[in-house]
Amino acid sequence: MNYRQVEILLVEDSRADAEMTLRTLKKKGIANDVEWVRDGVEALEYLFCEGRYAGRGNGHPKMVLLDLKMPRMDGLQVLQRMREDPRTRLIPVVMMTSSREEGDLIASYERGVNSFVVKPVDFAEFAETVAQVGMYWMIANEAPD
Amino acid sequence: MAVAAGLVLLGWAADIEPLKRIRPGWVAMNPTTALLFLLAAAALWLQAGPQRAARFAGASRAAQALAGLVAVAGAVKLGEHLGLAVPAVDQWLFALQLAPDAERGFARNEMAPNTAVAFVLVGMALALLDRGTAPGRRPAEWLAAGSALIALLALLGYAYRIEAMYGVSRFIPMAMNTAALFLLLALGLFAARPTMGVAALFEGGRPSGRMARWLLAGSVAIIAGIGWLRLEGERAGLYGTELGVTLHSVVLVALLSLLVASSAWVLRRAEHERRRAEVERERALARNRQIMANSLDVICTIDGDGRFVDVSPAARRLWGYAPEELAGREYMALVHPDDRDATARVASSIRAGEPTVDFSNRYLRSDGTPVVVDWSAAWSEPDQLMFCVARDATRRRQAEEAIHALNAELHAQAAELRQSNRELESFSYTVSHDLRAPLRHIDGYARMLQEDAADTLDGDCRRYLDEIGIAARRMGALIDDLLAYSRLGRKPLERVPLDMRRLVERVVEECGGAGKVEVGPLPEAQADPVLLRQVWVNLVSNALKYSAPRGDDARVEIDGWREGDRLEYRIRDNGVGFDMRFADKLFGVFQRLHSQEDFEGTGVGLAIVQQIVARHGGGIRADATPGAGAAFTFDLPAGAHAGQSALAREDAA
Repeated sequence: MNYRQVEILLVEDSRADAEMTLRTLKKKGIANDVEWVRDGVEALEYLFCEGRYAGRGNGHPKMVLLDLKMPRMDGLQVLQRMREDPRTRLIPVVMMTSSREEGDLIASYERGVNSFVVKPVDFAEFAETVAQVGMYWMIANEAPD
Repeated sequence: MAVAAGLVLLGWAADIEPLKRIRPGWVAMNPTTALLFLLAAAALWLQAGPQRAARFAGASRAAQALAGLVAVAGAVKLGEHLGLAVPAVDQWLFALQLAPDAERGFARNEMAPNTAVAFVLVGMALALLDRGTAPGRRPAEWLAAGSALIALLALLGYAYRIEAMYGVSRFIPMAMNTAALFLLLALGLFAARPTMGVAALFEGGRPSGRMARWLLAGSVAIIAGIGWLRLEGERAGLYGTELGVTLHSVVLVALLSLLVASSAWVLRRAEHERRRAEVERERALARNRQIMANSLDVICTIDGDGRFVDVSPAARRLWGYAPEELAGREYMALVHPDDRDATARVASSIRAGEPTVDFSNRYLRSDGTPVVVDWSAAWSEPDQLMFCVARDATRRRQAEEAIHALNAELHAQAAELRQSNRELESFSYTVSHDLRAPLRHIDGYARMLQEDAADTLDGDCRRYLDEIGIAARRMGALIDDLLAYSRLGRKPLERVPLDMRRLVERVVEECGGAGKVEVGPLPEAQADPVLLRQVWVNLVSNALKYSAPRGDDARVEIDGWREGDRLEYRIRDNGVGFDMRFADKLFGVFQRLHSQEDFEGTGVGLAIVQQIVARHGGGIRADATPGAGAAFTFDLPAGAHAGQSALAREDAA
């Protein structure tokens, strides 16, 4: 049982990408409490307190960083389920993906994503992007409780 | 005529002499005669024509009754003259007035025998008015002619003053007015049916009718006149009987000769006409035959039994049979068995009156091979023949099949292309996702390592890590450019009128070339704005990049003009230029003529430019002097030809 407030739910299947993201977030001091799940199924289990996360009692994350391409269940499906459920409908979701394909972009916005960000190859840029995203959504943005 | 008869009756009734006899001393018309004339007139009038018969129901019935009455009356009087004991029909009317004439010394006024005969003839003619149609076969005309002759006899008798002629022995001779009326009646009988019998010869406005009328009238008048002249001459003692007869004959001979001559002349003319018409007809037939013989298509006629009547020589080529072989043969025998039902159906609809224009069937040639034939046929009722034209449709069929095959191929190719495009789409999708991630990780870890182990690493190690990152980032850039190149190639081309100058000015500003780039007037083009923008972005940024070493002296000039049906656009810079020997490499993908250290770039920019320009149907060429600058000129087609040349060039490329 973990009672710490999770601020960001990171849904990312690549360990490397996750490591870089976590490191950046920590370095910039944006959020100390990041929960990392490895695919869509786990993400939903976490959000709805099911499966291995059944009975977790620490509320909802303030933001979800969602990768698009994942095995089993991809980002679009997670997004869809989140928006369908009143419990998770209002949580801000930022889609992160390797490429800017128009089709993905439109599909995400149609399902109600709050933001769509491309992960650059350049690490410096990547770090900067993550920092900016984090800064904005965690600090500047007002979210419902 | 009724009027005249009516007048006579009036005359008897009122005892007005002139009406009765015209001239004093002449015989008066018997009242009954007058009455009979009235009846005859009525009978004729009733039968005047089909409209009259329609207006008065039973008109012909009444007319026949009247006619019968007239004939019977005449017959009775004749009987009396012949000694039969019959009532005197001519004495009952105006009996009172008849008596004074007898007293005045005239013989008893009765209907003359010739009058009676004439009435019989006329009555029968009126009754038989509609019998027979051909000349010579109409009893009415013979009867009428008979009565006319009797009347003529009497009239001439009056004219020649021969008493014996208008009377028969002692009886009161036929009155002149009676004779005249008989003549009129006879004419009326002929005229009543102008289209039948002898009357038809004299009727109408046709030259033959007119001539006949004139000739008849003329000859009657002249012959009667000559007779009269001779008689008068004899009576006056000018010459004796023999001389008179001789003169008469001579004049008649002259007259007849004249008549014969003029008739012969007319006949000759008619013959000429006919001969000419014959010749014309022959010529027309010969022309037709010539046309038929020359026609590449088979022209033929088929009779009501389905047999060939006439076939043009082209049949030899089309079917392998000579025209003579086909005449009389059933055409269905040559039709391919499978097509016989359809052919029979079409043939019967043609017989029913619907000409067909587009029917095809297969015929079997003399050697057994089938040949496809296109038909056009129509049935002619008066000729009882089907007129047909047959054309060899083999080439047409082949052309159609070729087109079908080509179409099928094109469809297949289009489908292949679509498939190919789809595969490319998913390929580039994969590339953009899956190739980038590892690169990101490489760069990321290298950097993280640098950050975390900065203290423990020496300069060289740190440099190695830099290189790792640089390489990874470069590969990312390459991937991005490749994807852009591929995507631009697949984007559909949109041609709209484009203000080139405005576009270029905007691009120049975006690329930061404000002070250094001069843009001259540029002709408007029909092109895709998004793609052309990319072209200028690449060209302008290249120009700025390669002239950057000049610093403030860097100059870029952009101009354009129209040459014939092409629009030329040129960008010149005073940068480092390149070696013309390698100019053909310039537009290859990833080909560069400078090193990465000197000038950054992936070498895909110009390849993209060339691809876009080529898709519009244009071309690009480059000119440079190392150290002095470079000029790139591309052209686009002006206006409407744009679409076609694009296709042609893509095929050629």
